[in-house]
Amino acid sequence: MDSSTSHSERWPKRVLGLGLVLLLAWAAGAAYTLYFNVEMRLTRFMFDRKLSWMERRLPATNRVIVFGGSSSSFSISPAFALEQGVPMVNLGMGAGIGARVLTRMTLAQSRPGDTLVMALEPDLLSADTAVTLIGAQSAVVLGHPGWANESLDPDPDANGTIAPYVWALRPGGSHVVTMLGKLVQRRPLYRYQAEDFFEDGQQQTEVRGELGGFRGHPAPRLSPDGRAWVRATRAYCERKGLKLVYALPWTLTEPASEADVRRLHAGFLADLAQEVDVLRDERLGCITDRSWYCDTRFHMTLAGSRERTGAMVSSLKSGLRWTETELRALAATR
Amino acid sequence: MNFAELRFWLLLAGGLGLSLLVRFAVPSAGRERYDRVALALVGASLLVAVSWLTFLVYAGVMLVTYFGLQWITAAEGHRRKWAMPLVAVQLAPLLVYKYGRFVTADILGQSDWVAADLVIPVGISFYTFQKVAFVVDTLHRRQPLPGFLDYANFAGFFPQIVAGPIERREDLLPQMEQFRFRWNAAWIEEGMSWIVVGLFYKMCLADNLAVFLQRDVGPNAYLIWLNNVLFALRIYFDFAGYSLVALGLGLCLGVRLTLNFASPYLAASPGEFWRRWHITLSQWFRDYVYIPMGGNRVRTWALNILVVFAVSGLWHGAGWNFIAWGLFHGVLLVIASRWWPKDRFAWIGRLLMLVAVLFSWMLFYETQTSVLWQDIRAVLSPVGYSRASLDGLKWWLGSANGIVAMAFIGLSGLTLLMEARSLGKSQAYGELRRPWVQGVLVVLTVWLSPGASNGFIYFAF
Repeated sequence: MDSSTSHSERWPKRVLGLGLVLLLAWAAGAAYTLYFNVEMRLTRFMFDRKLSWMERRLPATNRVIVFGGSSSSFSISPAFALEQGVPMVNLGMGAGIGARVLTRMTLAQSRPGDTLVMALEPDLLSADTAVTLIGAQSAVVLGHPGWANESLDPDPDANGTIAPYVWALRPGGSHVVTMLGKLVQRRPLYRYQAEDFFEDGQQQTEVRGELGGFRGHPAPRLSPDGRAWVRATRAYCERKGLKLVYALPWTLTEPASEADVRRLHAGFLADLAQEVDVLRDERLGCITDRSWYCDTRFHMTLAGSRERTGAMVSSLKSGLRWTETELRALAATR
Repeated sequence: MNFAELRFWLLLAGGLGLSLLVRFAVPSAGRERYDRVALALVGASLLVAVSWLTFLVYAGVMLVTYFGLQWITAAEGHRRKWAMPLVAVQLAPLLVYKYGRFVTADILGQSDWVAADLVIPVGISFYTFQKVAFVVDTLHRRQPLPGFLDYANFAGFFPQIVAGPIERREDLLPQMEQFRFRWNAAWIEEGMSWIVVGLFYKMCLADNLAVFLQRDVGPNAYLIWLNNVLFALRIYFDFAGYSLVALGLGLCLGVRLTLNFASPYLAASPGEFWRRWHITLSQWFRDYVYIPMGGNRVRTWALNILVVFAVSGLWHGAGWNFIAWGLFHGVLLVIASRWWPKDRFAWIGRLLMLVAVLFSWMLFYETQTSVLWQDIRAVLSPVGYSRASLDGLKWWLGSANGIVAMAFIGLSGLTLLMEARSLGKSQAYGELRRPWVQGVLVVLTVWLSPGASNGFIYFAF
């Protein structure tokens, strides 16, 4: 490179200074994420709690593994399922982790003969399934950065390049603003805590909110990316001797919108039925009883979760599935 | 070529690093030419890394332009009539890829035709316009055709090829002819200061704001206005962010590109807005469409403006809503040429302009006609401002998402205030490029970037 020192010093000191600031900011962000971020600390705790139930209370194979976002974590009671004779584990985690990481962390725990119940929230399959910041952070914090690789391959043992994981070790805007807001308001830094988890990994909370039911906006639609992910997961399960079924989470629905939401859900499930077996659920995910929900329209109380788990167990035992034709007919009902 | 992705910077570092390593083996006498060859290769490699389709379409337009021009200029005079056919050939890929779907599916109703399912190559609107201008400038001003290598670097200078600025022959070509890899700390420092601002705009502001844009909020005028504000900030910080990084990258390589934005939301009139928003595109339409149509010297000047803005809308996207967006701004400009608050009422003009621009973004982002009509009706009728609508807004603002969104709207507002201070000192973005501010921007970008893979909006144009 030619040197033009006549009108400039040799080293761009300001750029080097900014580079140092960048490194320090990243290092501080990484330290915060790994050691102080309350959400990540709880993620690690809940995952360990759920795995511990699986190891201690379930047989080595032929287990039912339910996975999804927090709607699963709240609404599935493995202890109740076990009472009904179904060895079940609830691997529901935060929905912010995203479809890819949630699926891979489940596949990593599965063995031939297991039944995987994919209970991912429709939102997670209605848009891009690319790995989220929280997903990548969770993968790193749980010691498996490979779960956050960007490929469409659900294989949990696949590894990608290291750069995205390194860059993920930052808090992100939403987290920083939320934490600052809570500090200012002197509220607890995170709504949930370790005491909210039962021995079987099910989550509950004392928090109650004024809940608005789902009215059908935004309408759940299986995105091309969501479809590709479900298809790839089914193919992986077939190769590994795993059974995969989809179960729609139960959502608090406004009574006046129930018919509309049932049609929308039926349409969403009909699209899914082209790719994977869909567990039969006559309610089509629509619940109008507010007493079954605690702090969000996805988080069920103990009473609600017993209904949900009971219905799931019953469908699993009977082997009942929706057909695409049935679902299309329901979606077209007026 | 997404500046917000680590992959781009790694590829760029690899490409430039390799070029410099090989340079050591090149004899001094050959380095002048080597530098220009290496720059062309780095640019081509980065385009290939985007996709082969992107590279091949770009290469096709580039080669047709150059050799077409060579053929025309080789025989002075009678072949000049081929200038327009050459421009038509240049525009053909743009028309097919970008408007194929609009024409076949939306106008002809043939959604199963091949053209209805084409993927738009990245940057096609930008480099096509730059090359059309090159043809017109070369032939109209009877300028000599440059050597192929310099032309290739002019046509494919990687910082600006996929989303502008749309550079002119007289601005960029001489710099390409003189291009050398030089170590110049002053250039690098200035370039890096633009890159820091650009990445802050894109990764910290635009990407965070993008998360909170709600689709189909129903007939709630307050939420629609909130969406308009979010989109207005997002698209500005997204596109200006890209342009500022491009400017900075160019400077690091010793090439000065055109500043494509100059705080447009501080404009006091429609004319001023278009002198501050996507400056190189506005100038392109002025010089290659509006003035050839007669400009403001003819009786049909108002019609000329409407045509230019309708075409400008269509350039932004193949859809009726984009045409409506362009026409809205055209009408605004025509009205403003006869009446607009000025002088001591300039603040009213500024306010009017801001409201008009916010309204217009609704026409831009809402591609579903039925939803767009619903939104327009809600915004223009008192029913949209009902008590229930206000409650809806309050509920959203009190939610976790609402609080975070308002924080980023606040940060955006602070940034715009710093832009205003910079303008007051006649230094575009100067306040944001002060050393201590740059340190803060770096920290904010690292900590607050949401990490979601948001492509630049203008890549789709």
